[in-house]
Amino acid sequence: MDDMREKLRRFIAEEILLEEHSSVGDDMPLLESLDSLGLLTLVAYIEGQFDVEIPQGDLVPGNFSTPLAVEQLVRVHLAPAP
Amino acid sequence: MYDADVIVIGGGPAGATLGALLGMGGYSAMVLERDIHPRHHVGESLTPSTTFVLQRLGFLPKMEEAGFVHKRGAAWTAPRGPLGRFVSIALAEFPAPDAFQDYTYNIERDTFDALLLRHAAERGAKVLQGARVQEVLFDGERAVGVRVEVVDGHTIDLRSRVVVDASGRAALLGNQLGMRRKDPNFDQYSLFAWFEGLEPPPPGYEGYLFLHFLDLEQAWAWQIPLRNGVCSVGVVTDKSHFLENGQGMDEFFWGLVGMNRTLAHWMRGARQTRPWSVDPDYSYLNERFIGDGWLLIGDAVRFVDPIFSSGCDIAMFCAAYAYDAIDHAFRTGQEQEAFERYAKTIVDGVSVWYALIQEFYRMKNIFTRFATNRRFRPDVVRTLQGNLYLPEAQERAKLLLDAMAQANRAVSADPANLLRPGALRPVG
Repeated sequence: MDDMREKLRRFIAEEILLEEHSSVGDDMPLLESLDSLGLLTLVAYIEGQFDVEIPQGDLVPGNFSTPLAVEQLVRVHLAPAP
Repeated sequence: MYDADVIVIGGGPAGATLGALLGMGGYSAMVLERDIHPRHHVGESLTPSTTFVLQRLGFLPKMEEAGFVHKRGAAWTAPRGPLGRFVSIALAEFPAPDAFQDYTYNIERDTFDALLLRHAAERGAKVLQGARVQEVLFDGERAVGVRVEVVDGHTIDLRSRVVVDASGRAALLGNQLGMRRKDPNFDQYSLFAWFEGLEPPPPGYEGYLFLHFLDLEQAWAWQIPLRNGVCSVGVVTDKSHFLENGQGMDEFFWGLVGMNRTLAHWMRGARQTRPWSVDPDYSYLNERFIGDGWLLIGDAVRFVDPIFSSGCDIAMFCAAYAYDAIDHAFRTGQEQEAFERYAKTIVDGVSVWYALIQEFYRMKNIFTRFATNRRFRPDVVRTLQGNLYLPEAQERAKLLLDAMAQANRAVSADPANLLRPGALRPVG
């Protein structure tokens, strides 16, 4: 799981924010740095890297507001079916 | 009694392809071209599928010899993204089963069209340039030839068993028979020129066609790398935007370029090397495109919008299917049946292009979502490869379009969805 967090942080830093990895904090606001291609690049990365499908209905501000929110979104979809 | 089996009006890619195929098939074809080639033309990027037709013509070695830029994929940018962010698709990712090369071409149309027309002559077609067809001649309902101005003011009548209108946007027969209609949904306008000194794309993306979305409804720009470091850059908007604007072309063009951060940055050192070309009267269709003794092919049938580089794809596949129809008609005498089959094939294929263009404009983000989603990406790539005239391609495109329409409805109904236009407005 921490591996997931690490990968996600690195991708957000390098591919989405185009910044150094160290500067991405849990609560850093993401939406003001995100354009549509950034959002969809991130979603495609999540789907490919963690083998999940993010439903279109989940593409709402609450799920992408911060790196932590994105992480939680991934966890929800990673959770094994009850 | 006939001057040729087939008279083809127009020597662009559609007319030249048909002329070459007829010559190769042992028929006498006369291609009447209004201009003297080479001449400039819009539409400088090919779909992958056109390589099948070019191969059938035996024309690919000449394209390699000419050194046309290899197009290995397409990429697109968003208006306010960080500099240099783009999403891309590579042709090599999901090749058609019968693909024999993982690239297609970007083409300077003056060179390409002139070479292809010469190729048609070499394959046996009789090519006349500077020959302005004034009208198609009819005997009752049946097209029997053309009246053509060969020297200023002097016309001759030429007779043939079949007349094919490949006159492009001029839509000669469409206008003569009053069949040409403005497209009810689109009224697109484009302005383009050639430039030197654009920032080169990142390594690995040389030859890619770049589309840049602009911060304006229905508007985008193309960036097509050509030979010798030249790039064609064009802007497409709804015509009303240009007309209302009242600006000069320079101001209008650079104003639109400024509506995409990446494009503006890549063009900051660009020098224009060719005068502006305007394509003012874009989107139309013909109510009918076959009749007794006549067929329309290529742009003469319909033109909508250049977003997916479908122009030459439609031109060359129309020509190939028209050849099959004419050949069948000549062999069996069953012209009506053969032409009706041609019409159905073309209408089905062109309708798919049209639906794709509509879906794209309805919500660009949905298109990007599908292109980047693992489940749909192969279908998006395969569909954009072109040749949408085969049943399996139409089936695939239909499923894709249905899914996109459904996604569109869902996003439209959800005020919070980030795929809605303008939902994400990054700062700086």
